[in-house]
Amino acid sequence: MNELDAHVTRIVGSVVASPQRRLAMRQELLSHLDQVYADEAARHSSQTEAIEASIRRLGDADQLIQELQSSVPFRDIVGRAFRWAVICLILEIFLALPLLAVSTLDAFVPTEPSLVTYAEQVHAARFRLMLTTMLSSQVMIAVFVFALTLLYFWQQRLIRLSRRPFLVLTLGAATTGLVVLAGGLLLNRTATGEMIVSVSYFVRWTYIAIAAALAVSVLPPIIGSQLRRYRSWRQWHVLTTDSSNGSETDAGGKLAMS
Amino acid sequence: MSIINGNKVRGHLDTMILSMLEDRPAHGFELLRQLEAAGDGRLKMKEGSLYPALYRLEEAGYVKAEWEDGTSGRRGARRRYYKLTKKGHRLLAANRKEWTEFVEVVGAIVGATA
Repeated sequence: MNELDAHVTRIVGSVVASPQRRLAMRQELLSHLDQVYADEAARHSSQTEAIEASIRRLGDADQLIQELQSSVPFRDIVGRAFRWAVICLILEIFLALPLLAVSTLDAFVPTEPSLVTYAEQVHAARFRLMLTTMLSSQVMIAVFVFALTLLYFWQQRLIRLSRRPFLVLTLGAATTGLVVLAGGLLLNRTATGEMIVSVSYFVRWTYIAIAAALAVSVLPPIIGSQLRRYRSWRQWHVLTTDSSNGSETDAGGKLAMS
Repeated sequence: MSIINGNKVRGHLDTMILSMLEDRPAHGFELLRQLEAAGDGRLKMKEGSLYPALYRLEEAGYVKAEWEDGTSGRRGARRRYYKLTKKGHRLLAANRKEWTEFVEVVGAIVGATA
């Protein structure tokens, strides 16, 4: 029923929410009205009367808009203003984390055989922990942005960390932190020998593994959710355009919400 | 037989929904029919009001919703089935206890019991 479709679209279109949520609301209300209409069609001889009765049963449109709006969580409303977080996270993973890893490794242990000559020139053959202002700032900024971004995505339910991966990631991060700390202290004390080289390798590969694990576990869901958001936005755009033109819209066929 | 309209049950709608979902999952329209049947035909509410309540309950984690796989040969949009979560069961039990106490106390004062 085009009238029912237009009525629902008008109501849901007035609710401030993400396209995904509005599409879900629209489909559910439309499904409800379909069934109400089947009831009313059996009672009324005219189609127009049945449609009017169905719309009446749904309730006052303005009141329903208010009630629907009150059911939209705040994060869904403000979330739309923070799309930049996606860019932040991508920058974080592809730029800040490698930068952080490289800087840290350079400060801690430039002892890989191929870098020894370079290291000897730069560090005068004595390796020590160099927590410079630049490195400290980099670490703080990277950790802060990364934590904020992850928190944002978690709140938005764009990523869902079940207990086991979360535990593994946390333990991995904690172990790495301890290893880095112990490696730094060790380097400060001895500064030479095979152990330094092995620690440097361990630290380096642990960092790479952690960064890869983060990228693998976090990026695909984020990209997927952004694609879904985009598709929902497109669907919503098409549906609202169709309704405003008064053309036929097959809601059940066009909407394929997951 | 007096009719109880939506405004009178507004504060209790959440508990009534949870109660209807206690035994088995249901979609919005079915839930409304169950509520009306349980109310012996005396409960009349604006049908749209059910959905904001369901969304709030879902957001709070008291119910979980799933879209049906297909329309099973039926015409129209897909339905969304709601089922009670463990948290929802706990809330329902707490609300029932509270309601029983309320009826006992207020009933005794007003001079009628449920």
